Amino acid sequence: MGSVIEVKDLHHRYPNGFHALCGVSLTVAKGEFVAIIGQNGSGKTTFVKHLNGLLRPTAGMIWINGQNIRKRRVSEMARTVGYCFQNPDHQIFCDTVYKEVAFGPQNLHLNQAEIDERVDEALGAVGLLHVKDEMPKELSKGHRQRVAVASVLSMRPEILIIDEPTTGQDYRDGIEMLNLVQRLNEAGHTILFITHDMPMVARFARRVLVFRDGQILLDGSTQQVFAQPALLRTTFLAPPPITCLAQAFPELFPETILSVDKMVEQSLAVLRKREKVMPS
Amino acid sequence: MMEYVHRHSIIHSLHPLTKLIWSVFILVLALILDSPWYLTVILLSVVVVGFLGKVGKETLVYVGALLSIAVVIFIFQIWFRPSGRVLFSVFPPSLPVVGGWLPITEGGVLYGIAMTLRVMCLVSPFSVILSTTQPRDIIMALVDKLHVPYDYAFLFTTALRFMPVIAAEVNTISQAQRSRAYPVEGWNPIRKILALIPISLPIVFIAIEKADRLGLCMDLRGYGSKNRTYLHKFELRFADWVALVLMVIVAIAAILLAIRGYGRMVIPS
Repeated sequence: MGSVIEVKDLHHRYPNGFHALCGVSLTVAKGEFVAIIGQNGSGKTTFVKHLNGLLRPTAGMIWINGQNIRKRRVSEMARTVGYCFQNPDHQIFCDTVYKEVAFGPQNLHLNQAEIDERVDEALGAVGLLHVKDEMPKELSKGHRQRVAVASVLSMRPEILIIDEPTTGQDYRDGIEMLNLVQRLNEAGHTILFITHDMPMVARFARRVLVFRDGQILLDGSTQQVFAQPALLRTTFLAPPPITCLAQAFPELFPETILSVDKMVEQSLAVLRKREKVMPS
Repeated sequence: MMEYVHRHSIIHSLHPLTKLIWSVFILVLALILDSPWYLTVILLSVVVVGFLGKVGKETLVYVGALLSIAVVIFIFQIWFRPSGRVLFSVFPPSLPVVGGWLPITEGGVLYGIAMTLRVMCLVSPFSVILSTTQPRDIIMALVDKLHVPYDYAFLFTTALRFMPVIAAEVNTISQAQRSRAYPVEGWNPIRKILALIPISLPIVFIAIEKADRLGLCMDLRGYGSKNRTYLHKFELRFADWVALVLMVIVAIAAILLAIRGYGRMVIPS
């Protein structure tokens, strides 16, 4: 599979002089499910805003699907890179959910039949077909967040960037949101999401990028990244509790454990092995 | 440009009221004197105060920006107040029909220069005041010394405080809509006005929400309970008195000079 995102030595300095990104390079292959973690102010959001041109590099290059995006407008990029903002209230302005989700496709100048098809598809994907004619302002926060995702999905972007999809939501809404994102990933979208929620990272992401002071501190599979608690601690992050527990018993759990199920499975295997060695 | 710059200087440490009186003082001088030479001196004095306040560069940039407006004033004055010798005409007299239209006169040019300088004198002190005084201190000085009701003062400071917040929100909203293929860029003016709807509606909702929350927070912190006390006391200090006395002396001198006919514009005829 080819790389859909390629970033080379990206730097960004804000007008106030803050050097938010200091040399970020990476490639993301089609179909990856990437979590981006790091402290506030470490450059996560600044980085992803470069991928659809909302921010322009001070230095460095970005290719999306092999094309340099230096001269592409944000509104052009929207077909390929969907960007979902953290707070749905920053974008909701229509009086029905249908209009809100149709806004993107209308901007792409699609015909009415195509728009209707895409709205139904996007609302179906987020499970909100039943509120199509309701006012988005009157929906719950979790549902508004899903309307926001649908309004980006309706442009059928190949790459989907979601900024803190679970922040400010209860556990159930958070899990549902990420289940939805996972389904989208299985349907072929490349996903990048920013989060502070480590258990969610452990449960959903397959690759993790750790940002610290505008640079990538760690980049690897979820297991590889959580296998380095000492390094994570330098930027005040820690693996989820279950992983930490497993790491406290390295002789029992040589591999990095990411879920309770996995730990139980491994513990049982160890117990069985001992029973064989010392039959009671 | 008109933002508070945090530095330590004698101008920063003056009482906000002294600085407000200074702006009135400059206004009076600029109105009673109308010779371009005198007005130039007044404008230079404002720049000097800017340098004393360690915001000289900001003041000069601001005065420079004023020049663009000044040019427009200058052009209007030339034609609205023609007097004295005709220097030349925009349409040379040799042309048929329009020949001799829009004459440029010596008096017109002098009036133009004087008016331009006067406007710059009136506006530039505010740049110095705003860059050397925190807005909230200006307000508190008004409440403390001029007995402006605190509610109005609070209203005003809150409005000032909200502006950057709202500007940041507008930026985020505009980014969110552009991410949905919404073309905010472009030149078509009608489209530009219509383009405001997807940005202005969310900002209205967000502003109302924020105001609502602010009201709650004020209630929670006891806003409106009786006998408000203040953390910062503003007292006129020695430097303030020196500045005030100086200003009074110069103002009296200027008025006497003006009565005796100095500082008047002399239009050669």
